[in-house]
Amino acid sequence: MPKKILVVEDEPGIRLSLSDELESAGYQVFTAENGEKALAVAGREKPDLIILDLMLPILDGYEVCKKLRMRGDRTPIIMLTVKDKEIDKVLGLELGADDYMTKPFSLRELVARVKAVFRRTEEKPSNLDVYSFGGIDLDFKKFEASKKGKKLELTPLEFHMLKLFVERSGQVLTRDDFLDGIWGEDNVAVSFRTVDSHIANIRKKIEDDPSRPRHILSIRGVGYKFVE
Amino acid sequence: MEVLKIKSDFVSSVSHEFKTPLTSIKALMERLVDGKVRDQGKMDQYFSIIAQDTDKLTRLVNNLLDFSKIEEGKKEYVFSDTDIVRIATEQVQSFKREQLMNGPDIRLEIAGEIPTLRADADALSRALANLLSNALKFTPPGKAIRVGIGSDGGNVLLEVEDEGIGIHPDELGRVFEKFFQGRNALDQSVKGTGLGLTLVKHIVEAHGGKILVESRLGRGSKFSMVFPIKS
Repeated sequence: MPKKILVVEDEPGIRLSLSDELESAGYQVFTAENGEKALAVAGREKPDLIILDLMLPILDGYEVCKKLRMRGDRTPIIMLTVKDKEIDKVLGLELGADDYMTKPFSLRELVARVKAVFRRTEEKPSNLDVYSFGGIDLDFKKFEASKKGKKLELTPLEFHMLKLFVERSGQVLTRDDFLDGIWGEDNVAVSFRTVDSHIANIRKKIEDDPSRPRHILSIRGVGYKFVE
Repeated sequence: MEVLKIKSDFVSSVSHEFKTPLTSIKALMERLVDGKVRDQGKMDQYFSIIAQDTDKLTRLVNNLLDFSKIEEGKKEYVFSDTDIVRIATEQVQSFKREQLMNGPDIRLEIAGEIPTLRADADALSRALANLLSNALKFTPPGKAIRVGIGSDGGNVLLEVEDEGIGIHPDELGRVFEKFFQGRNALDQSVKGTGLGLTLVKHIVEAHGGKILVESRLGRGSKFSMVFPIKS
């Protein structure tokens, strides 16, 4: 069964070229030209990945992302944006996007990012399927998490980052460790700031007081360390 | 602070307006150049969209240049005998070509004999193109856009009426202000620079005419350009 991708883009040329390129790469593609339709198609077709433009009619990309996450849909999202200010990217990542691309982009790069997201979200052989610490239960196989019995909404990327933390508990991880361990060979366009944004998101979800984290500690000038 | 914000928003809007068609052209061209598009029908579809995006970019550049000249007080018009029916016909045909299959229907209605105008033909074309471009942005598929031409002997009327989202009544008086974008447009994430209608008004007034707007929220808008017939 080919992987299913939903392309949400209101510009006909971008929507057409993207869907043709992804179909050529062997994916099954669905399209939506506005945010409202995107939510409907996502609910009906259950895509494996969503490519989501930010400036959309009816409901913009941020709202679509927020609504998907609110209804428990953790499908990986790559956001497309013409906005190249850091704050716009950070906002997208904070709302639960896994990656973003700034227009104009090359189709080859986008397909590489798609493959990278699938590599990250596919199961990797590991003995570590479940892990618990400080009232937090993680099931890396089912991509399920809870804090004191209450369900936590983590994106697939956040699960992978947490798994890397847990596997190297007590060690200092540099941002390069995350780029290599999570983004792998596709890390060329991923900035350290992106890593920081995702870590900030994880803290918000697992820490009691994200401004004074107890589990994911910042090691000044080096990176981060996970402690139970 | 207000001026800085307007400037920053404007730069951001213009950047968006440039990057969107550029991204489309770049992506479509990438597939064509890589030889990934073999089917003739698909190839025609690609070329057609590239042509539309190129037209959008041309309009954008023209608007920016015109706006810059107007701001510097250097905008000049060249008046000659102008057939407004020919201009409207060309623009309607051009926008129909740009239209996607499921886009709004564009109709041209000419009421009786239309006299020749002393006008700047390029400027009138641009004014009409801006009104049509706006109408297309705000009108959903399945609805209609009407371009009407008429004359009462003393004036020539050129109007563009759409069945789009409409304009809030309290914003009708501001739509011709530079950089202004209605909240209905912003709510719908409809993009633009906020210059189009400012330029249309300038062009119409440079011809001694006036522009009128009527709108009903959720029902549509009508922009009417009234040009006096001068010898």
